[in-house]
Amino acid sequence: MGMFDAINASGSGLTAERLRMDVTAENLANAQTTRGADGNPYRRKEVVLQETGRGSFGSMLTSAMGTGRGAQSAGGVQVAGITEDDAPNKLVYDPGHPDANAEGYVEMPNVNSVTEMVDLISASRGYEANVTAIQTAKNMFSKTLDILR
Amino acid sequence: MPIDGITSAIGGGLDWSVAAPGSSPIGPAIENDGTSKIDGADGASGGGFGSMLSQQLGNLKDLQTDAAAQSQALATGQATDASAVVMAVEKAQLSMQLAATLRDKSVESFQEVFRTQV
Repeated sequence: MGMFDAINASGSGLTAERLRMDVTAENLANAQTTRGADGNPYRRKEVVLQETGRGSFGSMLTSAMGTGRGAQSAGGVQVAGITEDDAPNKLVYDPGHPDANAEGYVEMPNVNSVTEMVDLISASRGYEANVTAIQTAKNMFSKTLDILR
Repeated sequence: MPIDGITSAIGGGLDWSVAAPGSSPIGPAIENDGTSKIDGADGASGGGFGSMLSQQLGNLKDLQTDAAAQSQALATGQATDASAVVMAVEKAQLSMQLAATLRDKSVESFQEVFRTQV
């Protein structure tokens, strides 16, 4: 266990929540995008998070041997990847749209603004929780130092 | 030795696992001339308080250097993650508080010795 394990873990949480907010903002911005990078409508993106060090050979070996600092120190969170939501696109009847098909339907992105707003709130509250954890860890450290005064 | 209890308590409770200080452009150099004398006074317990102290000072200097570099990166617009900068500054500040408190305690102990009635 190190001096700043709690702060490091919460710091990785801050970075992760920020990325979640970035991706949600991208989804909201592209909610009406019918021409994505590959010419198809935009696909909703999601962040996948994982525990720091999980799955690496070193961590598996130390946990199997029951030694090392894996069991004793707080880890953190890291981004495993950004995946695309494979939900079907919405079909909207709009014959005047340039991207409408022969029947007059336009394929719109599979982004639901309500879901994105909820994700925004979740990311924001998660960020606040991590900030609170950091402040608490900091206060504990200062209180420990106060013993010497 | 009266310091042994504190040494073992600090050595067991905290993890000074950062390597010795390297040369760096920012921050003053730290001299470790007195460590051998402290070790000699400490006697049987090898390594001991002196090496721990110098290691802690190296750790402190690394954290301060890191905080300064990251603050500079933020000021010049190169930093992309503001929270990482804040974390680095916080860690540097807490480490400095720890070092200052330990120094105050050491000075206090010295003054206690100087007040000895002869």
